[in-house]
Amino acid sequence: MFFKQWKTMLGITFSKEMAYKTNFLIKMLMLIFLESVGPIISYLIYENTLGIPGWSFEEFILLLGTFTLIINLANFLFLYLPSIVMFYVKKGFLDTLFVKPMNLLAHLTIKSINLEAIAGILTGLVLIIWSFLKLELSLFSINFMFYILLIFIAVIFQFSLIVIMASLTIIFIKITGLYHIYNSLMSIAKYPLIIFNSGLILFFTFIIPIGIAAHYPVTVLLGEGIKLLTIGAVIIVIIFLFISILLWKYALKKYSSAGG
Amino acid sequence: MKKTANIALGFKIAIAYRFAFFINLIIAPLTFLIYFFLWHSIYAYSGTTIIRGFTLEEMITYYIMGLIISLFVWSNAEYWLEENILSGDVVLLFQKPISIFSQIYFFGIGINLLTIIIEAIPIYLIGLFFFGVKSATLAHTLFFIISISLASIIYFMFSFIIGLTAFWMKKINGLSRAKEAIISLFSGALLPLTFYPEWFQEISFYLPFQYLRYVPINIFLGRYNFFTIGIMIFVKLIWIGLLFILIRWFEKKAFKKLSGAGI
Repeated sequence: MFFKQWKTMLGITFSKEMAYKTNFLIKMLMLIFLESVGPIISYLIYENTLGIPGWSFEEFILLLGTFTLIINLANFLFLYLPSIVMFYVKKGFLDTLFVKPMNLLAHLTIKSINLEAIAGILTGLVLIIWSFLKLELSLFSINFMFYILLIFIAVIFQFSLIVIMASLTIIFIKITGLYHIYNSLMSIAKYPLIIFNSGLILFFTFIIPIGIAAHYPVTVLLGEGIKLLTIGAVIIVIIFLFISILLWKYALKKYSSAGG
Repeated sequence: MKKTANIALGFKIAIAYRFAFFINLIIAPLTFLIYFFLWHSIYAYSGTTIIRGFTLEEMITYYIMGLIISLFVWSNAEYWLEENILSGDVVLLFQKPISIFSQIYFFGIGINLLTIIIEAIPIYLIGLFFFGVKSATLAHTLFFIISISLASIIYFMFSFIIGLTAFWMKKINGLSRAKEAIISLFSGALLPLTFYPEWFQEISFYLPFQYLRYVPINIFLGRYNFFTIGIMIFVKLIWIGLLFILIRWFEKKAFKKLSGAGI
């Protein structure tokens, strides 16, 4: 039922965008261009300096591509969830969704599809493929399998953060600033954790596991193997998921509707 | 008087959203951390004290001042115009005794006033005391303020022009993204322009985008003498004049388009 509804919503979203075809085309081209600015800047940094310690240009592009893919998968699937929740809470419509024969979180997630993110997903994939070829990495390796698994876990981490944000939106009926915090945290994930000192590396692994959003999947793929820090980050992501679901349930209990 | 009313309105709305301003105060040090550690590691690894004319201290100052500039040099005039054009409310804006351009511009000034008080100064102090940001002489600080004031007018004008295209295109977020992409690349917002190839630097020399970020920061860093600063400010004023003529021409066309639609 979830996938059927999701497919229908995808079709509706696509039709809406097609109402302004020229705008959609310009937007997609510009988004691809915007996503390409990061690699261009990285190229210029590597042209003028020795770059980031222990990371060749190709390895850094692999990290940037992985980050772009993960962030845009989240953007495509559920990033707008807090905005959608805010809309329903402010209008007092959230109650009407309680009677639907579908889990409320699933229902609202379906409504959060964002087609703009396709441009980012494509750019991320191009960057990954380019660095794969340059670094002569193998698709048929245990490292690649772990890489895919860690990307999946990274998307779960994004989902947990977004559900936490959506829950806070219901509790405080305020969304201002939440996306700013999210974007700021994610901008850390664009860089290898090696640039930070050991205290911050531990913080971005065990307290807020931002490292899972690109650094750990890429280091595993590059052959560093599964280290204690990677396992630690995965465990923290699972804890984050549980916390986010609990917070969501708590927020729904606290929800008192428009007249409350 | 009408302009002051628009400034006051912007200020009041900014106060209503003060929570978002405080959030920026929390986020800013996080962004500083990234640039601080990133460039520290790059300079250490490259084993040099100057890269493309910038010392480490200047590079960190470049990014932190860039962040402060981004608080002023921004505008969402295009979305505001798009919304009003799509809803038809733009007719009401044309009826007011002050031009649409002035209404939106002075409203933005009101918002920026609060930005100065609760964001820019604290953010600069955080940078100064915790991240080793350079301080500037009084004269350079003054010219820096003049420079970013003019930069904010230029940015607003770009935003307004994009907004006016909604009279023809209806939805303009594609063009808005194009504006973002071009400005981020050509203004030196992501990297000082000295890192770019010679041919790119020559192109950006003839474009107005470097005056939005690269030039004001270099004024703050004291990298230009007063004569050069004078020329830079003069060129900015010329760009403002040219963009103003373009806006007037666009507005007339847009008004005709509006009548043509039968509204």
